[in-house]
Amino acid sequence: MTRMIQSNAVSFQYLHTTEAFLKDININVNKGECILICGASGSGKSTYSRILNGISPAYIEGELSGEHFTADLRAGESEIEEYVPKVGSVFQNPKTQHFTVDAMSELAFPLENTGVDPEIIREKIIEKSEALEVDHLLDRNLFEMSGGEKQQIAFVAANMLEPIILILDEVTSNLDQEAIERIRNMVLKLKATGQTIIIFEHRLAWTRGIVDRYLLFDDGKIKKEWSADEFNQLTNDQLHDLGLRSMDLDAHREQIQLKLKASNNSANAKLSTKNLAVGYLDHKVLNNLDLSFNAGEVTGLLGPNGTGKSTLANTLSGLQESITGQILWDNKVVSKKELIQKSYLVMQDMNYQLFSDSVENEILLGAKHPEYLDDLLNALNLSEFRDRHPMSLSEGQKQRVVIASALLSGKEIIIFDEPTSGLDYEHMERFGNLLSDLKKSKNVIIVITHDEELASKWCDSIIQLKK
Amino acid sequence: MIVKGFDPRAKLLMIILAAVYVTIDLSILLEISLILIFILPFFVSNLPLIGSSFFVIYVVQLLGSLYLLPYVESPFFIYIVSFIFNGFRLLLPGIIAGTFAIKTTSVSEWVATFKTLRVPNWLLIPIAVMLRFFPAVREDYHHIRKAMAFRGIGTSALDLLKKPATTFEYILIPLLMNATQVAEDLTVSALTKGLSLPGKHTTIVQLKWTVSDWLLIIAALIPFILNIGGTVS
Repeated sequence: MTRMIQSNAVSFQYLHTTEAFLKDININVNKGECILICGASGSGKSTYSRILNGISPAYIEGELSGEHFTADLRAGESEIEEYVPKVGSVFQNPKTQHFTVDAMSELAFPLENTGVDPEIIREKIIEKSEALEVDHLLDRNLFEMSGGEKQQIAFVAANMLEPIILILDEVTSNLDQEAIERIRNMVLKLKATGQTIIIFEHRLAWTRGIVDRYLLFDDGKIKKEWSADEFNQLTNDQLHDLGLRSMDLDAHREQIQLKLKASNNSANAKLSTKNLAVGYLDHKVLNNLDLSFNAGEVTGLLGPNGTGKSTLANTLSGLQESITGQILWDNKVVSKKELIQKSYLVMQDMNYQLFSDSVENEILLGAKHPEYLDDLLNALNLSEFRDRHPMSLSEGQKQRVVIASALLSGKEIIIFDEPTSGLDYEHMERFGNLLSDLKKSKNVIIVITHDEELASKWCDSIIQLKK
Repeated sequence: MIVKGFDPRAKLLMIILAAVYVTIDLSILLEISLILIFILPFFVSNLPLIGSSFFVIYVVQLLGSLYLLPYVESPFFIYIVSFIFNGFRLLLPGIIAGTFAIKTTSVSEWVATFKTLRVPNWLLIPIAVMLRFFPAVREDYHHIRKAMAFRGIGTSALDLLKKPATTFEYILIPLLMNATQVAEDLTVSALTKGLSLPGKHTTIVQLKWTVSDWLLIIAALIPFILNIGGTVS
């Protein structure tokens, strides 16, 4: 058996930090094995993935002790460039890992960098894109692709140099069920070729039947290790106790089905639509929508990518004109302008939504009810941060600042766009609790999500959009 | 991938020629033919609207310079009017050539052009990163405007006029904050794909210098040659 990854007593501490992110890690991975490393955010997963692909300590610097080998490359001694032909990496965010504008160039990029002849590059692109079934995407602009499509291209790009080791760093965080299924198929194909695959993930269900070994990281250490058989025996509850997400999504899907049925009582709806069509002048995205949303309830909006969830959210929040039909508030027709004043769309990326130099100023910006500031800071656990710069907070804290400013400016419709993508079990639950607290304020709360665990447990009713 | 239309190197050459023409005093007739030659590529490349707009701008400048400028007496206005009709008119060929180059060349074509021109890696990489950022910034900008709309800040033209600095700040701060994160992610991803590898980097984009590129460059040189020859004065 050839050793592909070998960590002996590896510890790592980033430059300018006071605490080690990895503490005494011992891992051996054989050629052709597929292992999954799970654990809460901050458990050291990302740091370890950077050691594996040579980014640390060479580019993101720090102090490494112990001995780590990826293939025959020794961490801390080998150059980043030596890793290029041997290790392929796919990262979490589909938006920030493609270096070119169109798919074809993106696949050519690693080969161009290694000086391969253009004729051979062209052959390789066709070969790889057919093998991994992305050939229909080749002439598309990456900026116009869905997250799932971008991620598939990133996956193929990482494999263009035929690396012997593949590292998947939370690659499904932003994806819907269908896209995850495609990624799963790609992993299966590559595993069959004998590639060694290391998966870092929060979402575990899709990895059943692929992974040979599961490792749990906690506070920079390996807390536990399971064979695939042992891990498959664990119930969802046992996983949740370990801070992990469910392996078995069937129970969640049943729950979602039950909540679908409950969503048709429009009698006391606060916000409703009548024969609404949304989309653009040249094509309608969704037709004949008669939806109702109750105050003080969380309504989940589910559906695969491309079904028009975002278009619907943009229309309900007054960003976009509806094509036909009406939107009603307390059974009275409301205009686009009134809607935008009533609503707040919390986007996935918090950095776009913070404008001030302190949490307090941020929340007071445009506030209609400044007198409730203190109460709100307390309710959202933000009191201790009131003088901090919003950008210095964690993502979860930023999200609460955004929610606080929405509430203080008197918004009555709060829409969340994919609030839990990339979140571990603990943080997902925390967000769920926040949703239930928000219900007390009698707002209309809408959650657009792919996260079946979130939808099944924390949404009161669910609208499923279909293609 | 074969580059369609004019070769990016021809487009760059046109920009350089335009810069040379700034220093040359052409007769009105030669100047008109120069403008016609410079807007020609727009019509060949199926962008007649842009080409015609530039021609209209030119005609307005020319008429203004001939029939309006002589009657302006105020020293303050003559400065502005002569800049618009004369100074700006001199720069117009450069603006036309630049617009054409940007409008009709993709990012991968630019990168391929610089590789073909043997631009060294230390210069090529920052250019490639910069070109990658433009569409990303545009995307970010839309997200930020969306967030501002919900916050009710910077939503009207009046806000922009009353508090330009604040409005600008609301856009710029999230844009920069985001850009640092994006830059880090992009660098890491590009490093794992060999951006920093030493040695020659190839390109699948094939540049093709064709007859039409020759014709364009030669045509653009004609006013210069005639001017030196002095056949038209």
